[in-house]
Amino acid sequence: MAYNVLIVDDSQTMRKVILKSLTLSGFDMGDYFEAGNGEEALKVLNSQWVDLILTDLNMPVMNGMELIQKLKENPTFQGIPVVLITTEGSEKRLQELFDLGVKEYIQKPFHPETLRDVLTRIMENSHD
Amino acid sequence: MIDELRKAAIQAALNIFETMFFTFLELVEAPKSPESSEGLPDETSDTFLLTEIPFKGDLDGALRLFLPFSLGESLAMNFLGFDDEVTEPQLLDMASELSNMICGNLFSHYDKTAVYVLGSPITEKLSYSEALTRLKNSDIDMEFETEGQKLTLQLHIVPNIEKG
Repeated sequence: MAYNVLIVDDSQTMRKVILKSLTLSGFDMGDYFEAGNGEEALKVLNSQWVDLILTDLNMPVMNGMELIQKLKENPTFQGIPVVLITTEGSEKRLQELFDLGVKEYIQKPFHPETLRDVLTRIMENSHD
Repeated sequence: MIDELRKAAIQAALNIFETMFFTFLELVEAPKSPESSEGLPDETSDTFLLTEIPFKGDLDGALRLFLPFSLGESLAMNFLGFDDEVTEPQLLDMASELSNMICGNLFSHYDKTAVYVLGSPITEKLSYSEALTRLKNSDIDMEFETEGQKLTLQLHIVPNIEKG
């Protein structure tokens, strides 16, 4: 089964790198969508079917934490698995994000294989 | 504190360049005199990239990264996996993301329990003389070599008496 993926990052370059990593990793990806911040991500979600969201934390307009809170409040979107891809590694901040429902956390820098393993595990568990 | 930050920054830089840019950095161990231009990126390159990212937490300050423009082009091609030339906006964006990764990563090495909030990175193109002016007055300087070129990483810490 191919999964539709939404990548949310204010760096266009980083979005390209994540896409490249997904392609190289062999993850079973269907359609690919991108957004530069949380607000843009919500617009994409209102018009496209998305199975998985990969989001950065620090972004202008609407950051990753605000996006996750919005998703949690919305019955249509609250079941979509969210993976955080960020440079941050604070245990306190990560616990707050896990409490909000973030499924997994990948710290930059990362290898494509790490990305594939985490995403495959999440999508397999999402069918349980 | 300074030694620990320096170690964390070096570890972060080496790891990020190897993992995301497929580039191996070599740390240049040389004390820098405040009056000298030692630590400045390779002067044979006439244009430089300066990227700066502010941070707030138990410590406030900014991380700066200087690198020759030509090295930036090579890194961007590795990062993006392009064989063709990268555009200047892609190059500036790559440098901003690089400083973001180093800054976030170094604080997770330095103190995993503390929360540091990173600001938005800003990257500029500079001439050699502008780079020389900007390079002065930092708290921690680190110089690296790769592909025959030098790059410099600096940490500026804002004194804050209340935070001790």
